[in-house]
Amino acid sequence: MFDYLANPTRFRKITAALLPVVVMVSAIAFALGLYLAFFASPADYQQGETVRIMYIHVPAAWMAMLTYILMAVAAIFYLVWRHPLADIGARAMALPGAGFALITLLTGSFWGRPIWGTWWVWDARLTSMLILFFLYLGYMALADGFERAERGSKPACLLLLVGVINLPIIKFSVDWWNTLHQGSSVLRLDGPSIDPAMLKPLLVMALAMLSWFIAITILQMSRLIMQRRVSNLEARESWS
Amino acid sequence: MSAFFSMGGYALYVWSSWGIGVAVLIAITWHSLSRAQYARIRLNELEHTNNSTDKDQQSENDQDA
Repeated sequence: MFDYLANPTRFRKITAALLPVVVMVSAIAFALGLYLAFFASPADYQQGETVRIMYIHVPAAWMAMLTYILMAVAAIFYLVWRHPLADIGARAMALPGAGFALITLLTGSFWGRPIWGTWWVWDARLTSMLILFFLYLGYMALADGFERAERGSKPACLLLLVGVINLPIIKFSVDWWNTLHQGSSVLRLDGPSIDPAMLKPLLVMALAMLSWFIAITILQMSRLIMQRRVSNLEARESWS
Repeated sequence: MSAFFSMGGYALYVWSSWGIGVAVLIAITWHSLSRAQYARIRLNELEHTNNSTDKDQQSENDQDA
């Protein structure tokens, strides 16, 4: 399937058809998500209205982790099969990934202040999410840190793979250590323990962010493909 | 209405969170759009300057990309 998609002309065709669809889905899901998060869901019996921070905090955290997984898969494809499109894919996802991690950290701070009484604590969950954010920044710095963009690809992909160790730490930190951060209430082995009225806005916001992420990734990938072509043409011009 | 905006006394925290979240998403969208636009313009310039070999370059670059 990867070889099928890896043809640039076909890639352009498929993404051109996909882009308007994901943009539409994202816009509708955002509108619906906002409505559900602010009007159609109750305040929490312990946390009051601050629970509405959850509807942006938790989907962003899911997406921060999903994006990293996808980048790591792309890194494997690039390192093993050397396909440039896998490298371009990983590069394209880094900025939205960093954005999701940043949103998670900042909204978490604004949630922690009223509920825990502190903006920040060096708790396992918070620290590992901060490390994820730094992994995104480190990846971008490595990938873009060379005059010829492709030279940064291999070290950047290796960094991604090393950083995979951080993902289970984020996910299970709340089970392994006695942390201030609450445990999972959605992705649990025994099914969600969260109330359906709160689960619905959570899932709709997650869909909104996922479709936004796909749109941005398509945009960034086509931009990177154009940029490589530009640098090829520029190199050719300077030779002739 | 004002009860809605006061968020049970947590207005600062709730609205700041959503404000930051939406701002980050918009900033990334804007950044990606403008970089794509710039790349498209630059590519057009280059492809028009060497029109003569345009066709073979097109196919060659397809393979490169």
